[in-house]
Amino acid sequence: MARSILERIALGEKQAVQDCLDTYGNLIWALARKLSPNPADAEDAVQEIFIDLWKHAARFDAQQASETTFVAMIARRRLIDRIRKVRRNPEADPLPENLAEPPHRHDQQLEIKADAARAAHAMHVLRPEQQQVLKLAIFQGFSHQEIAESTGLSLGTVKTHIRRGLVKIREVLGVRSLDSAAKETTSL
Amino acid sequence: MTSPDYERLLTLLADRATQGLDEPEGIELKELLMKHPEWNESDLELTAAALCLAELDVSEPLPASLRTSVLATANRYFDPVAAGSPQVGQPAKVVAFPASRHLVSQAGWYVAAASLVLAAFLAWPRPTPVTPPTPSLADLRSQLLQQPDLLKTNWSATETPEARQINGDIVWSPGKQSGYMRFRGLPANNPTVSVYQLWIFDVNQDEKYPIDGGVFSVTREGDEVIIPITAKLFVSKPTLFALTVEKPGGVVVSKRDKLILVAKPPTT
Repeated sequence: MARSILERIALGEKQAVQDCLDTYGNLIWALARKLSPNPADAEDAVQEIFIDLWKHAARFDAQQASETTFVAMIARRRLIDRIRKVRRNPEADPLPENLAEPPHRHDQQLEIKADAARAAHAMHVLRPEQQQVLKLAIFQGFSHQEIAESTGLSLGTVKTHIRRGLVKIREVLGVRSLDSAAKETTSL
Repeated sequence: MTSPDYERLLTLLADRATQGLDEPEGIELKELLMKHPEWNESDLELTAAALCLAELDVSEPLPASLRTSVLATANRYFDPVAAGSPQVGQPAKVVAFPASRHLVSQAGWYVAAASLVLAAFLAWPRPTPVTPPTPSLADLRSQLLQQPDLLKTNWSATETPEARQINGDIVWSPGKQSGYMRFRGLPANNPTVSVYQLWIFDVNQDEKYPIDGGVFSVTREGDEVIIPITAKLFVSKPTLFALTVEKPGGVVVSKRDKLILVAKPPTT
């Protein structure tokens, strides 16, 4: 069976780095743009995310999630960390810049879209208020406190919606099935 | 039935997946994971990552210059010897230099000579560095006006009475992710009571949650004021700019109770 890109990176295969850029470059760039205040900040984030990916490549477990999801998780982890730093030090200034564009890879987009379609479907199993809170947390990058302020829900309710929503979606997506997770979701 | 520490574990996992944890919370999570080995630290992070793919537009390619830069970093990371620099994230090795007796005996002379050179350098008259003047906001705005992708539109007053005397415009460059608001007649505000806040409605953003474009105050009434836009998120394609009056410090989501100006960019 062919090794995944991250497995090849973990083995130190140089070509795998190029393949990783070709396959996940757009995805990481899109996430960085989505969760960064400006393009310059997004560029710094992309550099850090790729280094994180190389460091953590050996931790990828195909039994637990698809490679695309694992890459998105590493990227989000770094981006959330950067958002937290900005929130602690809101003086950070944007340094915008124009950038050139290399060619597309449609096969990669198809893979990502397949994962995305499953995730979008999974979202529909949640109650509307859970969907709203999760969307604000995940798609808009709001902190739980910010969600509470914008929706008028208590912080505790926001946290409960997020916790139960994620556990439920995890079950639907089959990231890993757990009896304990099922127990949690029975109270939804 | 779920125990309190199990609930707490799930809360920390969900927090980690959506807004991150501080150090004490991270330690607490590790302790709880030891009690619940059926859970993995990244379980809910993977779920959140899968979800975020649902609304992600990956059609924009990684910029070529950034790709080149990442590859250069990769070369240093995976082949630090060939690249002539220490591996990223690893400290450079410090190798002790074997000092010979001859070198040790001459070291005093070298130190003395170096001290003389340093003293001469410090005593040498040097021209005072000239600091370039900081460009004004009007200058910066004028520079931005040269951008080929510039969007420029006039403010339109809403029904709010105090908005009637205000005019001005807003300019925004999508490529630069930068812009400026210009106002004449915008009433001065007391920042301990209220502030002005810009909202940017974007084609890729839910209308309920426009992008925060920054908070500002006006100290002198009547003057022309130029305010830089500080968008908190990337703006893909703005569909509307709106100015509201909010509580001090601004808000995350506006109730739009006091909407005073709007500006609709031209459709391209």
